[in-house]
Amino acid sequence: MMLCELTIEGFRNLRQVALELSPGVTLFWGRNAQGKTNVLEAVHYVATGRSFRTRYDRECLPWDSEGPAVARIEARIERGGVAHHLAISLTERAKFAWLDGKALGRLGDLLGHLMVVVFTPDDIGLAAGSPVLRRRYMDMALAQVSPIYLAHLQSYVEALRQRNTALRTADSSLQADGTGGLDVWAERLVAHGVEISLARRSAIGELAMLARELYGQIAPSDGPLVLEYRSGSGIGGNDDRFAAAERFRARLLESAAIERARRQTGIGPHRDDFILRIGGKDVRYYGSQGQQRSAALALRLAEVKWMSHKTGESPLLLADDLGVELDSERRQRLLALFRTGVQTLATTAGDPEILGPLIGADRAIEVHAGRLHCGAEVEKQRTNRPMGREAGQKNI
Amino acid sequence: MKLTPAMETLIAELVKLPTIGRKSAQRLAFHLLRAKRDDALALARAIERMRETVRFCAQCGNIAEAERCGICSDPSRDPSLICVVEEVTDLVAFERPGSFRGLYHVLGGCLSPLHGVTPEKLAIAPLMERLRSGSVREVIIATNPSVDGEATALYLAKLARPLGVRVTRIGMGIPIGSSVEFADEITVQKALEGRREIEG
Repeated sequence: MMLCELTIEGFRNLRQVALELSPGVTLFWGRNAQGKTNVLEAVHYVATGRSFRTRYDRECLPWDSEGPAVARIEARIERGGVAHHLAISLTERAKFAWLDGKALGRLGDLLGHLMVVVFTPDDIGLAAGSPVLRRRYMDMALAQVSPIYLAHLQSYVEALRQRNTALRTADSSLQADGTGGLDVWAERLVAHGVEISLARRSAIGELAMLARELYGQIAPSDGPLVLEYRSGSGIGGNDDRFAAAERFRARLLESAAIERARRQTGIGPHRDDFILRIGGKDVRYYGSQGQQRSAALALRLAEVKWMSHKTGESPLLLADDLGVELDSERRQRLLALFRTGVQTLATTAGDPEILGPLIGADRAIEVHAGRLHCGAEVEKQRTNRPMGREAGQKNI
Repeated sequence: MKLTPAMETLIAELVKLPTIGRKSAQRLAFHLLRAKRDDALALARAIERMRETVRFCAQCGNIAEAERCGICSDPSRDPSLICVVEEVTDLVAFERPGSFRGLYHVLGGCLSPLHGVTPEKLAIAPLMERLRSGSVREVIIATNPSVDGEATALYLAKLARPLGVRVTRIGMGIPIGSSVEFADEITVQKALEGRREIEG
């Protein structure tokens, strides 16, 4: 799959962007706060219907519009040899999306047409931070390749909200009969939660093998990277659908009294996690920052490969703010991994002349004050030095 | 521009109706103004008569113009079979093919703690009373296949089963007249789960 053309009209500080993209690595460079990440965010927005930086859509509206603020992003893509057109519009009050000119009823219908994987400096949280980030990692990978997963996830979230409200308000729908079985909302949690858990368990199993190999390339002298899925519903490593449902149900029954007292559902895939170990040690507590950062990158690149295996199409990799931290030897090996062969949009506040060759960039584009300044292609420039420079453009 | 007070009042009332915006309301108001006086007043009278005479069936919650609705008072219908629906409009859908000969029970929605819809706010107690009468053999639960609809179905099943009533759920899957090809993933999955032996 490929992003061929990107048009942005009013997205944060980006007023007007029209860009044709190559299948390789495109590097956006420039000083901080010029709009580099906004370009990546806009791509993510048109691909998934949401930002990877904020839950609040209004932050993505153009900053300096006259009249009502409207953000619009269009993407011409190619998937399975067929050209498609994706578009999304965001206003203060509403969000609309189109596929090939047809309005999409649900935002979820947008997912999967342009699969994306984002790598940002915050991804260190995948190795060092809260389980929320690791659940989001599993969900974004799975939801983009499986509409059924997305449907179960949405239904699960709805059932969970209903049940937690019922627990808070002591809603009488919690006691259907006096037989001491599960309440009807918990039964919905089991029905959808089992599907979510089994999908995550098998995805983590597959991702673990890919991540282990990738981590070995970044830090060959470290021990192997191991991922272990931890079910928040007590589901075991070999449980089939039936056994998994029985176990989840049993755990919910056990904790029914506690949940009623706490007025919150404490059991279920919304408490899932996975553990990362390097050389047998839990990375979250014992990993160095370099190890954590490398493990996060291994997870992201594993996600890219996993999605490719699952769908036969490579996702688009959005790599934000490359070239920070890490010791230089590790950094070189790590950046070399960006020569994945998949289409990549990367940003850096560093020197594109140094970073470009390391990640195999085909093209470098300067972002300055919300505008893109497209230089000639890197390869071309190396053999054929340009005679003059455009205003504000740095030679690379 | 402001129209006359009478026109403005009418438009304001029309805008309260579902799917009607200001422009449509204005168009309807002018249509009624230009129509023959009798035709326009016939609408007003129809609304008035509907509100005076239509009420809800004391047994099933369907719309009725007497204590019992047309279905509940039809002696040819089978009172041992009850189909439970969320809304009267769902009942209308089940009546369209004309093949169902049992009775109905309208819940008036489905459970949703988030929206404050507790079992007490639905016609669940009257349903259980009907089931307790002993004359009901089977209750078919025809709530929507949403999270809330499924939870409501299970809630009713848990209450009805101890009463010795057979509890069934409507089938879900590929729409007739459509084809497997066009069904979405969830529908296909549901259709597979709900498969059955071919008889004959």
